[in-house]
Parts: sequence; C-alpha cells; structure tokens
Amino acid sequence: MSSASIEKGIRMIREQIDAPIASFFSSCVHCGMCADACHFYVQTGDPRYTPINKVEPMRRIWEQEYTLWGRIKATLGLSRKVNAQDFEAWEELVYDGCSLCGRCSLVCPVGNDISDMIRKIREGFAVAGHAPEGLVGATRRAVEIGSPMGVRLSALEAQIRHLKHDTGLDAPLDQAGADYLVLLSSMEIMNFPEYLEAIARIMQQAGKTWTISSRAFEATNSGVQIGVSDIAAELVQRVVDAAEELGVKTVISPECGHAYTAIRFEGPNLIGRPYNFRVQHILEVLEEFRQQGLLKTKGKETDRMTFHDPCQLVRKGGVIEAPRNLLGMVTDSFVEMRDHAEMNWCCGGGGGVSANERADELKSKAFNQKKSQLDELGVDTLVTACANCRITLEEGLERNDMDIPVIGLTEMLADHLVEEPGKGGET
Amino acid sequence: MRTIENDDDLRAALTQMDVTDQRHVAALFVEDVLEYTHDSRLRHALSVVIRADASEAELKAAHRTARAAALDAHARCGADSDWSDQSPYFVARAAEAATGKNAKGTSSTLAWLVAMQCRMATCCLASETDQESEENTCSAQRRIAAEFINSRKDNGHE
Repeated sequence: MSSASIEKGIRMIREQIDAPIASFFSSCVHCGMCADACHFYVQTGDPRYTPINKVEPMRRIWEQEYTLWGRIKATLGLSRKVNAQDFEAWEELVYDGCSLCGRCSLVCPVGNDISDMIRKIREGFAVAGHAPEGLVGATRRAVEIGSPMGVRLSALEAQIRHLKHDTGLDAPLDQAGADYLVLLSSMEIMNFPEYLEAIARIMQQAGKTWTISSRAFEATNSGVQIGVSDIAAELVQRVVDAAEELGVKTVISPECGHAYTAIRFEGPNLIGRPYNFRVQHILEVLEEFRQQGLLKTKGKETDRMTFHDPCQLVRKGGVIEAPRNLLGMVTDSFVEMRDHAEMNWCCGGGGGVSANERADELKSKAFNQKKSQLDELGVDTLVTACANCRITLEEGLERNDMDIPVIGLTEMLADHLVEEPGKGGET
Repeated sequence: MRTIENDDDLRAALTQMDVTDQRHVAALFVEDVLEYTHDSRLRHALSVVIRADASEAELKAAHRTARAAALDAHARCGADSDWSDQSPYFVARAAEAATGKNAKGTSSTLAWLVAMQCRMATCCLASETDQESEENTCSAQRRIAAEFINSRKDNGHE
C-alpha cells in the first residue's frame, strides 16, 4: 500500500477517537479479562488475540496525539509512529481474529466497549486498503447489486413463485400500508428459503399484513462489517427509504445477527436522524405475537435441544427471554449451555469472519469453544436464530464429526403452527 | 390403480406412509432431480435408503455423506453467488433430509420436506419465462408416489 493510503488510514483512525474511545484507553487497567472472554484468544492461546491488543495502533495514535506524556515520548523519539508494517501486522487481528461478538466489552471491569473500538479501527484499515479481499468483494456487491452475495430480485421472485405454487402462501412485494416490512439476508435466500415460507405461515396465522420491498429486501450490511460508515449509511438509507415509501409501521430484521444491530442501533446514527418506524428482530416480533395469543402451535419436539444465542441479538439487543419463551411452545426438552444468554460464546463466524476465506483456519479453531459447550451438554438438536451462525455451526460440527442438526427457530416454530383449513393451500 | 392428482393428495398419501416407505419415496424424489448435481456421493447415499435391509448404521453413514455434500455445496456467506447455480445444494439438502430423522410433532413429514427441497432445486433453474420445470417436478413426484403405493399393493402390502 502507498504511504498516502497509510496516511489516510491513520487520519481515519484519528477521526474515530472520540471522548468514549479516549476514556476507554485511559481507563484500561490491563487486567486481561477481555482475553479470557475472547474465543480467538482462549482457543489459540496467542496473546496477540487479546481484544484490547487488537486496537493497539489506535491506542498509540491516541497516546501520541492526545496525551501530554505521549506527545513528549513522541517528540523525544521514545515511541514509534504507526506505520505500514503495523497495518500489515494488525489486519489479521482486526478482521480475521475478531467476530465483533462483544463478549470482551461485556466482561471489561471498567466498561470499555472494546468490540466497538475494533469496529471503529476497521474504518482506518478499510480506507488504508487493509481489508480482506472477501469483505471488499461483498461490500462492492452490496453497493452495486444490493446484496453482498450478488443475489438479485429475480432470485427472490423465483422463491415467491415457488412459495405460491407449492403452498398457496403469498409473499407480497411492495404493498403500501402493510404492518410489517420484512427484510431477508442473502444467506436465507440462497441457503435457507424455508425462512420465507415460515414468515408467510406465521403472518397468516397472526392475521398481520406484511410486505417485502423489491428495492431493499437485503438486511445485511457489509459496510458495518468492513468498517466503512459511508457505505453502511447508504445501505441503511435504502431500507429507510423503502420503509417510508411503503408506510410500514415496523421493519423486521431477519435471522441475521449483525443485520439486526446495523439497522436497529447503528442505523439512525449512520443516517443522522431517527426513524419513523420501529425496527425489531423477528424473534421480538414472534414474542409479541406469542404474548398476544396470536401463535397457535401443536405438538412438541422430543429431541433434547439447546439454543445458540446469536451474539448481536443477545449482547447488543438484550433479546434473551424471547427465544426461550418461543422454544417453550414447541419443546419440553430444552437445556441451556453452561455459558448462555449474554455470556454465550460466539460461533466464530460473525463480524465478517465468514466472508473472509483467509480466516477459515482461525474460525475453525475458535469454534472449539462452542464444541466444548456442546460436548458437555449432549444434545440432539441445536437451535439458533442467525443464518450465518447456522452455517458456521454446521461447518464446525461437521469438521468435528458431531452429528447434531442445526435448525432456525422461526422455521421450527412455523413447523408447529396449527394449520387452519383453507389457509395456505394446506388442509 | 391409485392416482395422485394434486399436492393435497400427495401430502395425505405421504403422511399415511411409515417412515421406511417415506424414506424410499423420498429417495426416488431425489433421484428424479439427481441430474442437477455432479456429486457422486449422493447416489451412493440414496442407494442405501432404497435398500429395504439397510441398517441404522448404514443410514447414519448415508446421512453424514449427504450432509457433507450439502455443506460443500452451500453458498458461502458474503461470497459472489448465483441463484441458478444453487440446484446442487438443494439436491444435497433433499438427500440429507431423505436419510435423516423423521420430523416429529410437526406438520411436515420427511418425504414432504424432501419433495419441497427437490422442487427448490428445480426452482433455481427455472427462468422467469420457463415456469413449467417446477410443475414437471411436482407431477413427477405425484407419479412416483402413486407408483410406489401401487407397487406396494401389488406386493401385498396394504
């Protein structure tokens, strides 16, 4: 990379250092608790993966430019400025070795949001041209095509036709005034189309109107993952424009962890104004339906099953009880993992890691944390609510010769809905 | 001679089958769309399911094989993907379901789930103007199920 690119990267990192970031650096007590909370560190034993170390270039810029002692040290040549070699060395730590799961932030005794700091240092790395190829490609496709995986509207339309043909259910496109605007992730369209059918069934039983926007059906936000706020804002704006044009009351984020935090929490800050609609994760919507008595289920699963909490949903969104209440409707054989809810361990594939082929071996090592959780539980089925977690878990289980099917919660719930004669083409 | 005219009849017929028969019919559904994949592991997995004397261990191994094929064929998160190339993935998912456990306590039977995955495999290939392909797969599934039921009757299984 040219020195101009590195300078841009340094400038961008400097711009990210706001009051919270500065206070985080000055309050870090070097206790190491974040290390023990990180699956990348725990499973590799490599101190470079200590979460706070992943933002060391940012800390040095902060110290050298915003603290008296740091300035003196820099003037006297006692500290080295961040350079191209640092970007080279830290790129892998910032992207491959962090799934932005937020577990480090949760355990930090002084409340440092280390995960957010890593999210912010990525802004500098992306500008400097030090982002993984996989994420760069995904981001380019998200901007140009509207999907990080290059999924076009015609693919979604084909699934809608399939849905109508085989079940009689409809997935309405561009219906103004609907209660809900449903977003989908490309992973669901490509790998788990059962999700769309599940939504159609649930909405029909709940008696709610819903729609998908042909202009903005994609939920995932590669801009957030790679760390380019301008792109992240553009992707959020597309959804906001669609939601406002259609006049929906609520936008539903699908079973995709980071898509949820991108649209729900980062979104208004990225576009610089509040929304005039609500944003909920699909599990939050289902929980509301359950509380209102709108979901009627029959039968119970007999397999012993547990729930993998998607990090963004549980740690950023605090959605803990909803999945457990919903699981209670369809199983009496639910067991918790030792570390669950807000302390759950990440699958290892979040935060853009799955889109980064270079990180495969490290992701595989990090999965061993999840493996150890599952080994001690001995379950027949693993349920989750994130398409990326689902594939990452399936891959990890397969590599480790573990015969445990992974199921999406929305899909499982829909499978247990009481079918009403004359509805949905089924009797 | 039993005929199956529509999906309601097909689903009802599948629901009445025991799990061994469902697996057999499901495997025939997958064979019908097997041309969409080059993964030879799937043909082997299906041959186990179709054998009446397949042991639990053989079924389990076939299931593992089909699942590995499905994982190999899935669209990677964030990777450049093409919907029209997804057929092999859905064929593998269908084989995985055909060799897996029967869905318990749900509204869907094993064979019905397999039928849906096979139709999705066809759906990937059907262009906007060519919507007959999926209907052809549906018709084939009704015929396969009817022929299976009739052959069972002929052999004295009612």
